[in-house]
Amino acid sequence: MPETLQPTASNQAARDAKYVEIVNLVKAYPNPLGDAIKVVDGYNLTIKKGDLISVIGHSGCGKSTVLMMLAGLNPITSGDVLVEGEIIEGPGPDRAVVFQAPCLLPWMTSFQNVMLGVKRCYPHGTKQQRKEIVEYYLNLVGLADSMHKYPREMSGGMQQRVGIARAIALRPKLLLLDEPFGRLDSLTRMDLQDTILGILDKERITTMLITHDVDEAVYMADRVCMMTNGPRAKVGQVLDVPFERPRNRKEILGSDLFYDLRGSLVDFLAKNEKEKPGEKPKQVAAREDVFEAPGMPHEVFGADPDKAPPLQLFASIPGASA
Amino acid sequence: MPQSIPMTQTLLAAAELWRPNASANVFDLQSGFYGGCEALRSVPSQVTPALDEGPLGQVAATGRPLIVNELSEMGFLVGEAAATEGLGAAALLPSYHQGVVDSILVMYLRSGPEAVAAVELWAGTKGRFELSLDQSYYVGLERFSRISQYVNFPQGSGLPGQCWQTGMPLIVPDLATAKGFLRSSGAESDGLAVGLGLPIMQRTELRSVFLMLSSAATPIARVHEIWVEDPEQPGGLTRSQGTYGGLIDFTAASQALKFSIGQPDGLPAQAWTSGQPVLIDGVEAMGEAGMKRLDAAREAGLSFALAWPVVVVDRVRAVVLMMG
Repeated sequence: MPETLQPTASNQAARDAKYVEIVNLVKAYPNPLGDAIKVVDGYNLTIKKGDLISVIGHSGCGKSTVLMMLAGLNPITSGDVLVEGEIIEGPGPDRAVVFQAPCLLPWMTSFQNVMLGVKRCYPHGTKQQRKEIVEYYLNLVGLADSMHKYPREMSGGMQQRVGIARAIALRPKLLLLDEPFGRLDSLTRMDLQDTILGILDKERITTMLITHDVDEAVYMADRVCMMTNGPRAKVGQVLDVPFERPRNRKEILGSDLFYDLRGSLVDFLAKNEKEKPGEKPKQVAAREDVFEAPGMPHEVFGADPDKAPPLQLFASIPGASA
Repeated sequence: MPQSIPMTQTLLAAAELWRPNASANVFDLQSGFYGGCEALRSVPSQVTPALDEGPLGQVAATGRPLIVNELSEMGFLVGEAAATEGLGAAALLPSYHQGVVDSILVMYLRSGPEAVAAVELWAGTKGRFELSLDQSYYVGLERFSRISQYVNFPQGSGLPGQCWQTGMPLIVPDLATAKGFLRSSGAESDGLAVGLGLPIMQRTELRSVFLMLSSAATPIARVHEIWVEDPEQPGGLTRSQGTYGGLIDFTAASQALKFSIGQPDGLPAQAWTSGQPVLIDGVEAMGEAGMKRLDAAREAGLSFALAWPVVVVDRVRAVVLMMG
């Protein structure tokens, strides 16, 4: 009997575990005064299918740069981004972005704004099918009554809901949210967070959320990726968030674990706090019972990752390739 | 029953070095340090562990390190001795020669109400290029242990990630202030002070990163040193890092110390030359083994020394020396 080409359950699970792979991503900008400045350097992250990963770090560390490279809107200097095993090249409808500002076309209604992308992604659907898709997603974000309103007739929160519906209606493989709640008041923000979580629970879209808000990062995510400070920013630590879905805000805010996880994030950010201009680096008092030889191998790699031994020498972690 | 730990004792209560003896299908005890653990000292004379049984057999078969939290798994007599001596766990670390497990170090750690310490094994996560917590033993670290199970480190980040990237051991002398130690949540408030990261490499494969995290009051060992090839003197060994747990005279005695590879020239050189760990019980035995800082060790009340070679691609890259 010929071998079946159908993926086995374990193959599928292995593929789902590496649904999005970001491999040694680098973004460098030319510097007329010397070597190119690497804003992001050696960023590695794997995202499981259906997971929401939030990315947190100090302002200017390169979070949005990473997101823009994933969206294909900012060229990658080196490294790869793979979505479902395919290397991405430039922007595409398989990746949808929601920015902090809704970026709606002001002369179009919410229905027309969402229809723009739907027409592109469902060219073979009938007019009626496309209409139903738009209505479905606007309904999902709570805008059933505002489908024919213009942006000027809607609040900031409502406009952002249109932006979210426009992105999700594309049924992207990867949804990229770049501080989508940054301009909203806290009540609208919480409401919209729950709206998005509700949609993602239903649609199971793999999502990356860029945020500055520690509570938001923990509450919404399956994993939180903490970025080190730039230049040469990379993933510093990844925290698993074990709360079950659908998320229950009241229960989560009442659990000790939420505050432990939150504390862990705050500590990471505090440790990576940038020195303020003119401020001298904090001096740690020298201890008589501690010896550190300058320039020894243990320091070489920390100071200059380019001098580290070839990655493949230490890359073979049991299970990592499975 | 929990026992209080005298200030002069380390949390490392006892250690044994076992070598597989394939012809007799058993493990032979190569050396042991027992401190005051007399009940444990008598066990090897009564029972010989079989090559394919128990935690030792498991480490030999899989080549992977192991943390045993239930010491009765090490055998009935060890379980009895552990209860008598107030031991909480054992960490078993394989040492390899040409990719094969050549010896296994067993470290027995005390428990007790005032003890604060952790040993952890960080291993590769399936499907991800990250290290996550594989096995652990925590004592007096409730919050720290709760958080650690959710943390993952990519290559180059945190103490485990740095050991992975460099393939080298690393000492963090002050966990509360070190930039490279990222789990300070809980560590500082729980009193953790010193960290030692040890990559366990089988040829080019990273099996695990072993971490020992100690408080100042109940250190796992009092002295930690890393010895590397001296860049200024080929064939020589020099310290790259050292922490001395407040032993100022011993620190001073270590100042200008160097060793020569291939010479019977102290413990780091022995471990480097043989590529095998060296475990010494008692200060007199340290003298017989050619220890250079004998008077300072005696004055500091040090009673054991362990030299652990870090071997990568069949070449020793560093020796970690622990004393207490």
